[in-house]
Amino acid sequence: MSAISDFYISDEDIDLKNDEKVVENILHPNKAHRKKKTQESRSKLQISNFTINNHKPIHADQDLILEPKTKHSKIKNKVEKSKKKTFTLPKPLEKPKADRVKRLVNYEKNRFLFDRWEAFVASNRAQAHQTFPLESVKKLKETVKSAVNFEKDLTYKSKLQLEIEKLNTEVEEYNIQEDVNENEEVTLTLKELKERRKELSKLRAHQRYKEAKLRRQNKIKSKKYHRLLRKEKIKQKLNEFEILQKTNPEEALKKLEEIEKARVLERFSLRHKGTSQWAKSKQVRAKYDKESRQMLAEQLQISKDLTQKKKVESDSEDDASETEQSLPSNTGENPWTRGPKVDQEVSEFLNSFKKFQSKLHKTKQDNEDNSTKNKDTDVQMNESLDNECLEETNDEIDIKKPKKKGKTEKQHKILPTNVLKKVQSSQDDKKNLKRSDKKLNLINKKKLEDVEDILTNVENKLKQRIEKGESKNARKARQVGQSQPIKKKKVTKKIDLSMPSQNKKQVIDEEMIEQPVNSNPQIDSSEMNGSIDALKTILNVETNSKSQIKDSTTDKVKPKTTNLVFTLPNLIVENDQEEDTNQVMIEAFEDDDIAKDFSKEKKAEVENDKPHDIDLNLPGWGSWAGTGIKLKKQRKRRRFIVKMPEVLPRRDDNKGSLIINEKAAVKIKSHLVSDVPFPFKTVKDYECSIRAPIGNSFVPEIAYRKYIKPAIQTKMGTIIEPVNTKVLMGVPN
Amino acid sequence: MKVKVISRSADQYLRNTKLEIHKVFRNFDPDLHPFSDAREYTRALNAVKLEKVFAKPFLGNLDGHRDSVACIAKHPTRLSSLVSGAFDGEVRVWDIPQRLCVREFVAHNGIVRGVTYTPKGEHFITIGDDKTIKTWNSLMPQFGEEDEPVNTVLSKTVVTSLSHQKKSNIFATSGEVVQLWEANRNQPLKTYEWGVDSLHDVAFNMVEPNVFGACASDRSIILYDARDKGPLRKVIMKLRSNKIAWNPMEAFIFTCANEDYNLYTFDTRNLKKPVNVHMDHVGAVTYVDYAPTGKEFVSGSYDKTIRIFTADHGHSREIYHTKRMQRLTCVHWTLDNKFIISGSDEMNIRIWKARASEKLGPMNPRERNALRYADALKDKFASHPQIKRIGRHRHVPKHIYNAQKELHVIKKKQKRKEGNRRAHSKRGEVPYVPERAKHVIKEVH
Repeated sequence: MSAISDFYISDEDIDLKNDEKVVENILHPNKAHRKKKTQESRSKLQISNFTINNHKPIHADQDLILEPKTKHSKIKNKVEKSKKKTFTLPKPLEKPKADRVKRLVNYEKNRFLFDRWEAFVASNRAQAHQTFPLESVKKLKETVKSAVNFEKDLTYKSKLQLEIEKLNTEVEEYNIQEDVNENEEVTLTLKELKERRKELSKLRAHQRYKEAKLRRQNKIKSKKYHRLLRKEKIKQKLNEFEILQKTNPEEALKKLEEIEKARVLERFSLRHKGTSQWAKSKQVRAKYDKESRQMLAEQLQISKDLTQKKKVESDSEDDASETEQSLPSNTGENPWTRGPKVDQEVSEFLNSFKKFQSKLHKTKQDNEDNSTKNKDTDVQMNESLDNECLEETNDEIDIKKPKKKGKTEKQHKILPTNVLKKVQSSQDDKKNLKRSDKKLNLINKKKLEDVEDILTNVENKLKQRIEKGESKNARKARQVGQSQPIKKKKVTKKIDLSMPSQNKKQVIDEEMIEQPVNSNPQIDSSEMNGSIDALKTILNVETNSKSQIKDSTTDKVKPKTTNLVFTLPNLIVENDQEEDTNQVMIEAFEDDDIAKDFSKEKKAEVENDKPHDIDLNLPGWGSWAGTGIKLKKQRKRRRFIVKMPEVLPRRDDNKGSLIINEKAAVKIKSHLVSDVPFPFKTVKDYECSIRAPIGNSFVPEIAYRKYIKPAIQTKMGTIIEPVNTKVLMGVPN
Repeated sequence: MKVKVISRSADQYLRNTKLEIHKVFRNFDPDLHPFSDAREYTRALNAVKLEKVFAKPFLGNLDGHRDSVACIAKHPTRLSSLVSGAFDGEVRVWDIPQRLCVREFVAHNGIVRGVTYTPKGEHFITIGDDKTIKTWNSLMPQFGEEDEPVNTVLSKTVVTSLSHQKKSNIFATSGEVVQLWEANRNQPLKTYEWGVDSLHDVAFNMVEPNVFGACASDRSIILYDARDKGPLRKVIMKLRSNKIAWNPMEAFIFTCANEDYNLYTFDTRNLKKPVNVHMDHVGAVTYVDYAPTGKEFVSGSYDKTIRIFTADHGHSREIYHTKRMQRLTCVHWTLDNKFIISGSDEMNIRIWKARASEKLGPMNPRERNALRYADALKDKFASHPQIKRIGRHRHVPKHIYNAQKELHVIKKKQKRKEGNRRAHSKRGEVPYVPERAKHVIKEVH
């Protein structure tokens, strides 16, 4: 017991203690002072209200109170636990800090309150039309109600149907088969279920196996393997195509068209032309290495086959067209006769393609007739085939000089009869042999020639297509592989509630053009004052900046033009009648020299367009004699002539007799839109929006009403209340 | 020989009554209307010109106050009634359609700082410079009776502004502190302080009724929660905000009228920077009020003009001014979204149309459709230069024009200087700061 505690102990207590001490001293005078264990005195129970704090927490000493009996162990444990639990409370935060925390928490709570409104606000902003006061609340509640009652209201038959049934009981009923199936499914036994599961697992295993296999195959780097694979695939495709041709000719035809398109693309591209890195390296090696030579030849052969123009059967039409084509070259340089220059190759191709198609059609029709062809066509076929074969041989012979081929071709064309022999003599390659054999056979079999011809072409094209497809797939696969991790990252992004606004209105967020009441917006006063000086300065600037302007004009990006394409039918007749009109033109303008007229007109136009010097001399200046008397050339007079700078060359400067009038659209220019307005991204989109009329003279009444519906409608004399929480889903009202 | 005759039935072209519109037969085949867009463009051009012809927004004024109008309050349930307080302590109740003052009395010693109706419109509360908060009956006193307040409360502190909660009898006043009052108590329910000497405006959120905002003299806007939670957050701007207005349709959006000629729209959940900066005024903006649709708001300024902004646009779509209108003290958008009421320094209350060229009153369907068609055309061709030019052209007083020119010069100069700085300093040293980020100093919590 400490002294302090003693201090508070009552008098009575002190007396008692003293007495005890005295008694003990008397009883055991020799014994050393034995430490006496503290005993809870009765007075201790009366704890003073004012002095708790100074004490250490008093724990009852269980050694003293509780003897080691099993009975007390529980209590012992409890006490121990309570001992562990005690800890002092932390000091409270300072007031400003506490306030800050409180504010933070409250703000976050309110934020959640506001977040509830996000969806409502977003949907409101996106809506194209709104009527105030908002009716959405009512509607929403109604829909909720109807949703609740939906099942009750749902009937299999409508009221009308029921009525009809009452009248006429013999109404046919169609049982839907699916329902029966569903019922069956429900009654599956355990065994069946297990079986089914087994099957499914088998299927899955198979799928996995296939996937794994594909993956393995994809990893194989061997080129040879891939080549073989490709060839196999091509073969398969060809087989498929053949089957298709027999079973479904229309589909086959479609496929053919696709192939034809691929061919066209090939013709435009530089593939298989021997310009690639690989081909060049092979070329280098070709001199010594037979294999590479062969490969190159193959490659070139592919390109030859793909880019080959179809030889057309020589009809009387064809001859006529040829003569027509040759006509304009013979006539003079009358511009009317020339017509628009079409790329020779393209036009030829188009013609050939058309004829090819028609031919296809014919063969389909005539397949059964087995009508014999003219001798002319046979000869032509021969020729074409020979050419093909020859080209092949040429390719093998002189790979390094592909340009020479043309010449040789021409030579052989002149002597078509010799060709066959030559071909036969130059059969080194097995492939060639096969082909030539095939072709020879074809000549013999007149009936089948067309079909076979097509097929041979098809073969090449299919190869081409498949190769392309493969490469594409590979690229895609690679891209997918790359993009996947990025996608995963994106998933974690916050979901955006914003939706595209339903009305695509142009947003013009600009300052108003604000002018004071009495000012003229067009002419500024300063502009009025500066007359000659201003002009001169402008002129000077122009002359100075001439070179710059030149540069800028060359760099200038062409302005976005709005092409008003009317839906009006095109009155210009195409292709077929073109030649006739040309003919007519030639006849009509035989005598006139239109070209000259044009050039004359252009000269006048150019002259007119040139800026003229400004003579600022006033009449009467420098002449004392009055009017009617010839003036001498005076130096002073020259001073008042403002020389105009040289202008930029006209756009039609070196375009022959073409006149480009750049001022034609000046008037309309101020009405044209220069930029695509905000929510639109492309000129096309914007044009579409403009081109669609909305007036009731162009569209039906209902559409018109819909188009002119205003964005915000209010009821006259009705107060618009602010929204309340009833609008929100899940908030009880 | 058979002769073919054109014949048609009378039903197709005759009217049943003379009121019926003549039937017009149209072929809507687009091929037959190759010039449809050109024709519509012409119509749009005419429409936009006519809009200018009919743009006469000023409807009339309520005159009677003998000192500047200090504050106005709209009746929450009646469109025709209005209360206004003046700088001389006078309060007037107006009948708008008749343009008559139906009631006038002196409510306070000194300026009437704020007026507001109770939610049901039975009473209105005024506060004045004499530190009193007085509640008045909306009904006119009987003949011979004098105007007596129903209740008078003496506040311990100065009160400068007043706002009533949407659907309860609680209202807030600002002054040295923000106080929450209940209608029939003489002591404030709560008092909020957050280290500010004076607050000059307070406004309750109209959607979430327990949140309200206040503008303080330390250039800050403070958000409060009325449910014994005290202030929530504070955002300090470069210059002081004069007035705060909550969007009635978008709970978390509010706009404040600032001393730096701009208005700022904030999202309560992200106060770091405003959602939008609305420019165009050339003087301190003193008042802002939202249209009940929440799509637009109107602002009054010290530059003697009223401007109407589309809520999500940075520039105004309309400017109203008259020669005699002086500094604006308050502008309100009526609850039917049709009119704007403005009170200004020169003792008049003015009534304007919210859309300058709108035709008021009932219309027959054809007329209405024609006007709607014109509007639709204007929207369709809005970005065509001529239509844009005509539609956005406004005459303004010379002082506005000159001030604007001056501001342009100032802005240009600042931009140039910044550009120069950027050009002559290390890369990234002078960053590009978006306009929205320029005006907020910090967000305090």
